[in-house]
Order: sequence, then structure tokens, then C-alpha cells
Amino acid sequence: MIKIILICLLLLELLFVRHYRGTVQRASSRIILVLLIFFFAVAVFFPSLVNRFAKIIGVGRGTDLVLYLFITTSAGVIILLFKKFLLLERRIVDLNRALVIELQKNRQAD
Amino acid sequence: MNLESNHKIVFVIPAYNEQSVIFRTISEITKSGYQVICVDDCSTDRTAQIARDAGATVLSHLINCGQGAAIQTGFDYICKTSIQQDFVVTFDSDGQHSLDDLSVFLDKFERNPALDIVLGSRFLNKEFQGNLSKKIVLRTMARVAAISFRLKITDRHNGYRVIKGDVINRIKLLTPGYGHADEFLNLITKLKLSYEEAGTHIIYSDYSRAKGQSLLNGIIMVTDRVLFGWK
Repeated sequence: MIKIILICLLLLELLFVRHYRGTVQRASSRIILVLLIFFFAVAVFFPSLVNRFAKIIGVGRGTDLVLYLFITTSAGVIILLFKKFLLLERRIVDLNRALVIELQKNRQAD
Repeated sequence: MNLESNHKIVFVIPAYNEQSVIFRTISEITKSGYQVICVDDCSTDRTAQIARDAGATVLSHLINCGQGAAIQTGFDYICKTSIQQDFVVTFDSDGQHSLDDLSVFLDKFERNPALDIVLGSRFLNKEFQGNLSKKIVLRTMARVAAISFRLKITDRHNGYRVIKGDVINRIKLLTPGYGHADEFLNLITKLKLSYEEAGTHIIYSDYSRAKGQSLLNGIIMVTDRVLFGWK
């Protein structure tokens, strides 16, 4: 069961990143971050709860579940950062282009 | 009707560190009476000055952005300065495209005025000069693109294209690097542009071979599309 959950999580992360553009996605990423912090806090303060939940979804120990979630979350964060880098690169390119065209127009006007 | 003499044709040529070949490439075009907009992608050599000397209007990127970004800069400049054009040609700066092939492209428009874009293909003339392994790789890549973009194409990454003037303002290339060739194909599907291919002769030289796209660019293109899509 955990394998299916992890694969679904990775696919969801990929889908999320591919459509990452507007305010909805930016807000969603922050909600997910808060939920994860909450989950990790619960894991620290109530390890027995995590152990019980881990057994329900077919993972031996709570620590393994935390590790799996940490790895999938890290993968999502890395892909999201790549995407944000690409979006930033596009904005720099647009800025450069606008400037270059204005400079050329001014040069021709002179 | 001779489209070459009756229509205004503007060439958009992206260039990066091409000082040894850019003069010959551009002067051949300007001598034929066409306007050239050369987008210098922040070259570290004298490419921009030499292109200007050859008769081109030169736009110099302040930072190196990539071939796709340079082509889009040329398109935006045409749209924003109201340059009169019936056709816009994208053309490589390394001298591997032949100006003689332009008539083949324009014939396509003459026969089918509804066309929006004509794409160059190295394989229609059956004179491909590369080695067998390169041919197999390029044909396979074209086949994959044909399936994924639902287009009938034989060449995926040919920089020689002729685009109808009024279509230019609908094209917005977001991919700054070499992936823009695929983005052109994606836009043809997305904007429902009418297209055909025209056979081109590629003049391979040691210089153009050395400047050719590496497999690493292909890896970047594919992974970017899989992970991030087009937007």
C-alpha cells in the first residue's frame, strides 16, 4: 500500500509543478508546507501515533514513514525550485528583451 | 507571380560568437535585397559589429539568453517597430543554410496561400550529408515529435523556417534555449497553424559541425518538457 501512496504522491507533485503558475498554486504550496511541519511535529511529540498510522498503511515503523515522506517531499521541493528557476529565467529574458528593443529604438531615433 | 521580388522578406538571425562566418551569411542576404535583423546573444567576440558592417540591424542582448530567446527578440522587434514584412525567415548564422532554398519555401506559399508557416527539412531532398548514426537519431527524433505533436514532419530541429508576416505576433516562444524548435512545433498544433515542409540543403562545414547541437541539449529539452510542460 505504501508503494502506491508514494508513487501517487510523486505523480501529484509532478502534476502540481507542471501547473505551478498562479496564486492558487503558490497558496497551495504554503498550505502543504504548514501541513508537513504539523505532521513532523506530531511525529516528534507523539511517536506512537505515527507508529500506529504506519502500521495501518503497511510500513513497519513510524520512523520509516517519516523517512519516506521526507524523501518524497524533498523530491517535490527540488522539482518546484527548478520550475521557479525556469520562471525566473523567463522574466530575466523578457526584461533583457524589452530593454534591448527600447535601446535599439532610441538608437534609431537619434 | 514571383514572391521573392514582390514581397517584403525579413530575416531573423540569432548569433552567438560567429565572427568568422557572420559576414558572409548576412552580406549574401542583404545583397539580395532582404532586410536582416541579427540578434546578437551577448557574444564575447566581434559578431555584433561585423553583422552591422554586413548590413544587418543588430539587436544586442545584454546577457546571454539562448537561441530561442534571440529569435523571439527578433519577432518582438518586428512587431513593435511596425517593420513592413510579408514573410519572416528564421535562418542560422553559421552559414549552413542556403539562400537558394528560399524560392522552394516561397513556392509553397504561392501554391497554397492559406499556409502560415513552412518548415525546412533536411530529409525531403534525400541528400542528407551527415553520417548514418546521425541520420537515424534525427529521423527517430522527428518521428517521436510527429507523434507527440500530431504533425506530419520529417525534420525536428531545422532552423530554416518561413513564417507569414501576420502570424509573427501570435508566436511567443517561452523556451530560451535550443528547445524552441520543439516549441515551434507545439505552437503549430496549439494555434492550429497551417504548415508544410520544404526541402533544404545543409552546407556542412567543419565549423558548423563543431557548433552543432550536442546530445546534452537534447537531454535538457526532454527533461524540461516531461517535468515542467510548456507553461
